Amino acid sequence: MMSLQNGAVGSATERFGRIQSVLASVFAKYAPLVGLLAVVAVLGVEFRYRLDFAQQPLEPYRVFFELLIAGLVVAVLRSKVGLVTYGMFGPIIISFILVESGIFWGLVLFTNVFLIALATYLVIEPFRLGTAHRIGALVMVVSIGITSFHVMSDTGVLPAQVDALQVFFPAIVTAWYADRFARELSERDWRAPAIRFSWTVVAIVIAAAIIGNEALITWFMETPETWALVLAANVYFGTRSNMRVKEYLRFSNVYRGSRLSAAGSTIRAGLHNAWARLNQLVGRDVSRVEPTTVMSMQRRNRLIKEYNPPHLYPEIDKASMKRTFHGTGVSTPETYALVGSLDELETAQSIIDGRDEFVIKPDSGYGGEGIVVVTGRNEDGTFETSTGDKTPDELLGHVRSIVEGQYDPMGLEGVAVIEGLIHPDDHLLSIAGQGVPDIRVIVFKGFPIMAMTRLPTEESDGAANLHMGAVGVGLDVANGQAQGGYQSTNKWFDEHPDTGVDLEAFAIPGWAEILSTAVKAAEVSRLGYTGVDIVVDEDEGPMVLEINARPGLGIQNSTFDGLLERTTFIESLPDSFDLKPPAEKIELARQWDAAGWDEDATELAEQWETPEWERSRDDVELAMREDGVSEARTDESDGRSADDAGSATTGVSDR
Amino acid sequence: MKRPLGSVIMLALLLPGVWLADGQTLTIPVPTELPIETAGAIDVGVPELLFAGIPTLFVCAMFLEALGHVRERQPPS
Repeated sequence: MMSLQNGAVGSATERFGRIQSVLASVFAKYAPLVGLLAVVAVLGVEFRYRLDFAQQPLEPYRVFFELLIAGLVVAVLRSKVGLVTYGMFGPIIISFILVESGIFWGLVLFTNVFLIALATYLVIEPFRLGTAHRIGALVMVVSIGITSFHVMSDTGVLPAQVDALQVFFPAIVTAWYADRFARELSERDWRAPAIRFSWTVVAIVIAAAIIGNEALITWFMETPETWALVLAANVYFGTRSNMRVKEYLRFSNVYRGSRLSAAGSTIRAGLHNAWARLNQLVGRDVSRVEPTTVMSMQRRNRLIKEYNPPHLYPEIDKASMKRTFHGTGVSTPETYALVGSLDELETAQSIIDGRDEFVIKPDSGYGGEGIVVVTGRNEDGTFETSTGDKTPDELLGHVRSIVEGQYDPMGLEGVAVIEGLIHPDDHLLSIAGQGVPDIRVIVFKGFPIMAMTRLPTEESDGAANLHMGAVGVGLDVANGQAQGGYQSTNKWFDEHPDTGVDLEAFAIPGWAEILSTAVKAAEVSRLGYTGVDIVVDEDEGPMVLEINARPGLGIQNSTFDGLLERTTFIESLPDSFDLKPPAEKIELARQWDAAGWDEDATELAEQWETPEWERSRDDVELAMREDGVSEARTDESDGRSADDAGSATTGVSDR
Repeated sequence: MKRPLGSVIMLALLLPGVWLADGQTLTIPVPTELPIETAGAIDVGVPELLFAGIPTLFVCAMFLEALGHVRERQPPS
């Protein structure tokens, strides 16, 4: 467990002042919620007195109570278990069908309608319809399909259970599911959509099984005093940012212990923190603890909410970020065109006609979706691309589909970014053997706290995205030393699966420049917590590919270390550290990384706050202590040279 | 090309296929050792078989694919 803060008990006056302050803030936060719960509770009591429940007066409104319970079930499955489903409301609505028709025939009907929509998508896919026409076509065929199944049931061809819901079927929701499934299938092959589909089915079945329990729903409906409790439970679960069940599995190896001990640690930390909160109410300072050093998704989301203001989000898509970087000294690939409307397709046409190498990407794509890398022109006029040979018309069609919102989260419209092709430096390219390897640096409050390089593989088809099969190799922030490879399917490699290069025996050349580029880019973006993707071009050096406001957590499996330990370390620093220049922040981060991020932050803070004329003696002691730590780490790592660690702590040179 | 072709075949089986198969049955022989009252064979309606079999196969395939990453889990070296 990790201690967060320590404090001493002050005088009686101070304690009284603190009690007042704590009570005021608790009141401001909780009073409105208590008021809302009180309103619902009083309403429940009113129901009890005004209605005769022996007559089952709420029976016509049963569906609303089923909805309420199903909402809680699906919310818990998503946020606590970590099931990845297609939205939240879809599974709730579809679970109602299963209640009416029985689980088997309900699932059969849902899956058949889903398959009809999916098949329709795959048939019309080559025509690259815009979002509106595409969804329109899916809903049309789905509507005909549902009608056909009902008529077949009416005429006895199919069982009567299929006809359980004569008119109602969430055709649009199911068509939308199929649309998302097919798009993921096109971009990422079967695994990702299969996972989402499977867990959606699981959520639907669990929700249906619970709301299909008549006794439970009837009891809830006829006990109006409990309604407020369900609302309170939902709010309580929503405020807990602890690890989800799925994340215990995903990061099980980062815990460096059994999953059981990780769960035990979570319970102990929960009890301790509840005790700490009680003490805070009476003005005592008791250290809070984190159960683990691993950053969970909910904890990351809280960090993002605090450090990445929502008003910056419109400025961090690829197109806007390129404009922002212009003139700041942060290198990005040359932009040939930003195509934001169908009127501008001529610009894209002229680039396709006149150039042999370029990259087409959507400005708001996720996880590498929609990126086509054009690497050359064949003799027959077609292009060699990352997604196979394409004709000029097909490339133009891809630009059009981006503009029409194919990759936009809302499916409305998008901007196609056409930019120059990067020729990666030989060093990483020789390790990966193909594609464009990149380097992800997590920057928090201006400090680079974690890094990895993502090496394309044959499995990823040359893409540098972990979920597509690329290998992530954790890097020491101190010196860019590799720590071994990891694939998102929780496979670890000592050697690159295609080239056989040892993934613990190399370091990134020019590491200081890469860190400097990442920190500068994060500074320009004004995001407090970000993942900066950098590619080293053979001529231009480090170039920023992308800034991520919600960087993924898989990097923890690559570095075999938890992010939470490092963000907590940075947060515990005095405010004066925020004002330090980027170069100094980088130097500090490299030193802390070499020391394993377990130095006492307060002690380091005092070290750096000491006046310059007093620091010389302290510097010598610090260097000596860190040399000792570095040597110890070198011994542990069995294979890392003392030079690596030494150069990291002193920041003298890069490999 | 495989996916669009497979899609058209699936659509054909599910929509006109189920209807056109109305009245047809598939006889599945049952080993006589098993204590089945139908003694020797079970008749299954082809429409039900298509309507329930195709989605069942699809869901099973999806679950197998989704659970693949759990099967491949390996400890770090």
